[in-house]
Amino acid sequence: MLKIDCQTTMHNTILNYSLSMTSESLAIMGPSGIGKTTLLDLIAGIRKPDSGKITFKDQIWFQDSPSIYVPAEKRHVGYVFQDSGLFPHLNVLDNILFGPRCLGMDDQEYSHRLLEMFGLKSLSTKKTYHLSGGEKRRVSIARALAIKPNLLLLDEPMTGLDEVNQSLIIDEIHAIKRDLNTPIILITHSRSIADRSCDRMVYMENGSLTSFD
Amino acid sequence: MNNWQSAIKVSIFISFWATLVTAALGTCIGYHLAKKSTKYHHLKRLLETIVMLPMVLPPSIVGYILLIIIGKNGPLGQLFNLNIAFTIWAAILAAVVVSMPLMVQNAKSAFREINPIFTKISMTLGANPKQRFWKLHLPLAAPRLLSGIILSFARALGEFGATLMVAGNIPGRTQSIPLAIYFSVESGDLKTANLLTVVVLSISFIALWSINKLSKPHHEEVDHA
Repeated sequence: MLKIDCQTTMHNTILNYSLSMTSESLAIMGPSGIGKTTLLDLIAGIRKPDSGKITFKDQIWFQDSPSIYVPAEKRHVGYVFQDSGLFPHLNVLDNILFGPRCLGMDDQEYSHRLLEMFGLKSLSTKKTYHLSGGEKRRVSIARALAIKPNLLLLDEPMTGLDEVNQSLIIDEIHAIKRDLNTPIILITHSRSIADRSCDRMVYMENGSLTSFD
Repeated sequence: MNNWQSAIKVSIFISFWATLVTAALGTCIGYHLAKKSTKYHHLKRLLETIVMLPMVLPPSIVGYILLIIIGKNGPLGQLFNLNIAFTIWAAILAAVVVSMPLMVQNAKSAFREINPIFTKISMTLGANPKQRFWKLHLPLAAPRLLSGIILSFARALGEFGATLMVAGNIPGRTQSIPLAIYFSVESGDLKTANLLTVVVLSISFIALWSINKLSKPHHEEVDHA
């Protein structure tokens, strides 16, 4: 499904990524600053590799020769960043509808289904700076899913949340896999979260990934 | 119409059109200057220096340069076969040039202050560059842009030196409030000078007061989770 074989430079260090994802959900673990977020940036298309190839299903997203580069806005990859990054000038519903409106997708029913799925219905008209940390994280996941992504990238979505909110997010990851059938790549520091959320786990060191299973 | 009434009318007309042009052009220039790309870096620096020049140059020099450019024998006059010197359009042009640095600086800071993560997120949500500008960057920068617009209006209203050079002092046509005040004082008509001073003071005070009131930034969400 997703095949990455590319090279990029981060802080004068060359990172070689080689990853093949066939499972529905994959957890990537590893120490801080090792390049896990950089890998997600490369997949999402907000960072261009120096060389190599990234393919998704039968589409080439990046290739150095002959040069092919599909920009982020055309990849349909949902990306939940470490900072929730909710747009402060919009309320919860408008944040969720931002992507569909840009893409000309007018699926109000689906957006309301997401609001319900993430328990956000009562908050839909609230400005995002009034939300708690857990609520913000749920809105950012719902917003990423609203574009009906090919792939969902979650960059440490549980960080800074209490156990109750962590469990809620894990339940939502299961619901995404079960109900929406969206493949997921999750970055986490916690082995237990990775275990509870994903089908497969890999450990990253110097850009190379070692499988746990 | 009294002298002071026509001066107010002319000033409002000049300030309104100058602010409109400055707001649109200044926002575009500020947006491009705020982009942190290394492409066209030298060209950007050159553009910014040219735009900022009226801030450090004496207004009479700004007016004189404009007069050379737009006069009948100037490059613009020759190219388009038009002569707008000593018309209200020349006064508007002078007001645009002197208020542009304020607008551009405000716009540049406004766009620079936007958290880059918002742009990255909007890209993954499918927003193309045009949508990113209209749906994200412009609304997020709006409070600071509004400050720039208000300051530009106030600056255009108070413009004196460049306007006198390029548009002259023709009552009812190009005589704005600052010009009317100067020539009223010179001719001993202190009543008109006092009245117009109160008008400019009031408008400027309200403008500056409203900057604090209207230009409250959005509560930027940066929860370092």
